[in-house]
Amino acid sequence: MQNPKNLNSAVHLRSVATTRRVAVSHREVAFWNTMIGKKVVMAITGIALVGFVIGHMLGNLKIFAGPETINAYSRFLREVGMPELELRPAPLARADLPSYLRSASHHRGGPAYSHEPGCATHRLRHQTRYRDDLGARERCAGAEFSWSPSLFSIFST
Amino acid sequence: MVAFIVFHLFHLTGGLVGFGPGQFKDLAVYQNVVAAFAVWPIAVFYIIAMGALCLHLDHGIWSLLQTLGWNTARNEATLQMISRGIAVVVFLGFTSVPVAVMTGWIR
Repeated sequence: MQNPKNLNSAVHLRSVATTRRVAVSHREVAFWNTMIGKKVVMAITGIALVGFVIGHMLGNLKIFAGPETINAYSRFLREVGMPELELRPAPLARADLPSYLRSASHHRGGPAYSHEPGCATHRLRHQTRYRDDLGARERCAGAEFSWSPSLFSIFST
Repeated sequence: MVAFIVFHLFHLTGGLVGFGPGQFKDLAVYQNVVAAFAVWPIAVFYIIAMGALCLHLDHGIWSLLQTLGWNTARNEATLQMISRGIAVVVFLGFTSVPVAVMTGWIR
């Protein structure tokens, strides 16, 4: 905050002019530059995260319905939306990341199955679209693109 | 909270920590959870983290309602109760899993 004594200083007047210019041309920047703007962004992201936490909790409670229910649910979360979005596997995203990391320390390239036709590395090299080869999902389940390990690629890069 | 999230992702999503070699099986959530919370310090850590999450939600939900200007003199007490209610329900829902494993309800 500016000291009120400096209100007429040249520096202050220039910064006020800059703020006005930004406020006119980039309204979202001006919004973010206010304390209330940051609070509103935090509130809205907060609503989304509260939703995530509640959904995560409801999903966890499936464990009381038995192994089949929650394991099927985990597979659903892994695969949901992928054929629809025609997702191709990201270079570091592997369903079986732990074994990939372990094998990567011995030899670069990851688990062997990911080089089989239709699987992650193969598909990446040959630029096959997911929709072209849905059978690949069955042939090499576990080597597909998946959502959760993409989080891990943040840590593993 | 951040420390817990990082640990949790390495633990029950990646199987990189807290498991013996070959113990973690990708997508076998049920078996992984039972094996994970059989280690009691880890179960206790999760429960403590959920306590922190509960306090965070209690404060955070109420604060976001204020930020968005949804509180009035009349509904203030209700909104605070809703925030606390969500926080407590989330705490109970999440902690029920490690508690169920430790008490042998889930095995």
